[in-house]
Amino acid sequence: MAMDTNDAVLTTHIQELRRGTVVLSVLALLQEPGYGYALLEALETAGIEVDANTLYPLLRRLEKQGLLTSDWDTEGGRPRKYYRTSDLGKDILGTLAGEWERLDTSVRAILRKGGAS
Amino acid sequence: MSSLIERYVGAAANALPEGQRAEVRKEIRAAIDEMVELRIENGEPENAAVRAALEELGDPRQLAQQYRDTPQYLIGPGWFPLYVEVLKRVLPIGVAVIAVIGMVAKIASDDASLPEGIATGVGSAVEIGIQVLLWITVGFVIAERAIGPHPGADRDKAWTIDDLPAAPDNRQIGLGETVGTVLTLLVMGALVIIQQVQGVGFFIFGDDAGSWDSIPLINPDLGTGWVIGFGAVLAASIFVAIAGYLERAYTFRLVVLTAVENALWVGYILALAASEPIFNPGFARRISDEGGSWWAAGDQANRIVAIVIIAYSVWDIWEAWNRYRGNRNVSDMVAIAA
Repeated sequence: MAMDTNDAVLTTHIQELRRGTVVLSVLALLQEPGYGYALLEALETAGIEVDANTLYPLLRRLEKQGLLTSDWDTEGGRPRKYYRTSDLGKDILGTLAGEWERLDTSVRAILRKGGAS
Repeated sequence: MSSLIERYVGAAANALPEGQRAEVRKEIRAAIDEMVELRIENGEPENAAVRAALEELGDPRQLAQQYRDTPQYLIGPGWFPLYVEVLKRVLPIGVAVIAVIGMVAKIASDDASLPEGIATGVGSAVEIGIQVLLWITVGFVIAERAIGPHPGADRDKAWTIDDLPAAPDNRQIGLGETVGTVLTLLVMGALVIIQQVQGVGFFIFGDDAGSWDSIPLINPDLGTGWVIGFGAVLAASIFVAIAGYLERAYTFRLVVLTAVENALWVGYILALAASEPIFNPGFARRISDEGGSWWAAGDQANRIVAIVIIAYSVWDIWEAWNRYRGNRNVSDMVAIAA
């Protein structure tokens, strides 16, 4: 029981920690246009874990926010949706990447200090 | 096998408001197609690929919620405390009043026994209680969507320290409680006074000929003095409710005010019960075939009303006293701690 609770808490925190990194990675990878599942595999290869049922809705939210643009490719029978990072998305990506660097430095410093005490 | 995809997409779309369905349907459909396609390219047979893709996407209703644009709750956290407070104030009083009216009407009209009367009273109270619950909820749902997620908050302005309430907000008597009480009193008063002044009843009866008429529940022949008296006591009640809000907590002063208010009600009802039938004899005659039996005469009905009012007053004063004491104990503890 206590183990289950701890596992659930741990899972929640890991998810919290990863959440923003997915957006950052998606904006970076989609500077080259791509469709959903290929992106999922690219993320996995790069070591960013995300489920299909999280990624697809996320792509649409980012599109609605204007950070991605999309095209329906109707060649070959079934329509496929290609996404690409928009100009606004690239601006935001730059800011987020800077923030990521800053956080990385800060958290590393904190972890070093925490380990020393 | 594609019917499996149809079923999945349908289940997801059905979990969404109609306006969002077509678009999300298209999105999910495209997502499934490309997942399946890639699996087939990797050598999986089509059946297995479809199953695996759908299982990877998981519960279609949960997937649909991730695409949803509109909030999925009726009343958000900003409004919820006020909502609960208003319900707590309005429901018990409304339900109690209806239960008593239902009980008295049943006993009076059908010469029913007391248990039968109680059963009817409880029945009508449940019915009205559900109505009250429904309409208050609907009101809050509309308010949330019309005003925004936080009542009273100015959305264009950031919160500053000046928005902090003057004293630590440990008020015992909240806005919801006060609004609930005042609203209940106003509606009650409006019903009685409109009936007396306009001669309109709120109980409507049809007859065999198919025509409808309304018959006042309260004796329409009460003199103007009694109506003015009712209005005055009602105004006193509203005054005490507002005074309570201004006092923030139950003080000794407020307990005294509550006692005076209840004494006014008891005095008024006792004087009225001693001189006039409170209920409309015509109402009793109308709902009873036996000429209204004892209710038309009014003595018994007057006695029941008097007893109910006295019981309620005693309870109300007792409640005020207890809240005053509870509140004083807390401030004692705070004083000791400080």
